[in-house]
Amino acid sequence: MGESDWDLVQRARRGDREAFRGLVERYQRKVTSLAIGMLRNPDDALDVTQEAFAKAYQNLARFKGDASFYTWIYRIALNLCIDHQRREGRLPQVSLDPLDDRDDVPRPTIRDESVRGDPVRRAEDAEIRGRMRDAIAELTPEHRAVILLREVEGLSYEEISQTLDVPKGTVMSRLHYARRQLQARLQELL
Amino acid sequence: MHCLDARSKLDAFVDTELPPRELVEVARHVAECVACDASVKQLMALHDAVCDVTEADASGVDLRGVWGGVEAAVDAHDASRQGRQGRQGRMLRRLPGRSAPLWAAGMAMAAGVMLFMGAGGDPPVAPPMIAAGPRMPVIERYVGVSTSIKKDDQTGAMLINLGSGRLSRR
Repeated sequence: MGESDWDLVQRARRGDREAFRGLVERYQRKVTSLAIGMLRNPDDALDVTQEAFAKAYQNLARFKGDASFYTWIYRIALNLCIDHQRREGRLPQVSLDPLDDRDDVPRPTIRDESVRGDPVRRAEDAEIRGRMRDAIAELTPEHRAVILLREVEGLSYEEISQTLDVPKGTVMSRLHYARRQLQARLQELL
Repeated sequence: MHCLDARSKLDAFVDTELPPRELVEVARHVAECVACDASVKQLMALHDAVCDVTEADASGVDLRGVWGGVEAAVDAHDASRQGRQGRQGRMLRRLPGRSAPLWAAGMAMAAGVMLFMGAGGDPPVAPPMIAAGPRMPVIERYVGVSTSIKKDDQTGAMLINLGSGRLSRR
């Protein structure tokens, strides 16, 4: 079994560059995946990933270890994502209304096994993914963050609460709201 | 359990964030209620879809250059820190001889305060870490109504046996 995050942090604080590299390599995929989920742009996500780890290194002395390293690095990355979107002016407008461009043509659903298995329907599969991306992108950054941390990163409510520095009750209400939003927008796909 | 109670707990149910007793109560209700069962399936489908699209987008990203970029920033940070320390050292060396006792006394006082406050003591004890990193708990199956809970010794996951099937965390 590899060294714990805390051991690597301690070594990195003493100037061990390889220890910090170990932390980067351990979490770079997850941080990038989170950043892609937030920004929908792989290049921007890679920039944020690098910047997040650089910031983490600069602030290692301030990492107290009362939360996990990964909740800390996720928090740094999420703040950078939100800053990035503010700079780019790409924060979404939220609406409770479901998608209004529906028609009566039956569409493939996410649970439809034939969509996954039949190559003829790959285009429809791509359409589902496209609509899913759009629906996630339309959430506010706060709701998107909670959905990604829960559904993709698999963090517990407590860990999400630490990552976002909000009470657990807020995590639960944001998660509930974000799911209802996605369900409303993807009603005929789910 | 009534639908209204169960519905308010379905998010926490699929996230396995309910206390064991409530988890079992909701599981029993869901196993018998068509509407709640459909809601749970919808939440699970949503989970799969969010994971699917995010993982698909992230899978093609080449991460080989990440460390290089981070290392360059780390180098720059270390160089600037060393530069600051060097400048501070040079400033101290430039202090006139009669000032030395003043700053030395200040440093000694600060060291004394730090020792008194315990800052110079043992390094902090490592907190308990979550060994396996981020988890992915999703309820996968639930069938039947006769229930029992046990913890999987190997994975630590909570398994809820619902008679003919089981509800598990992955």
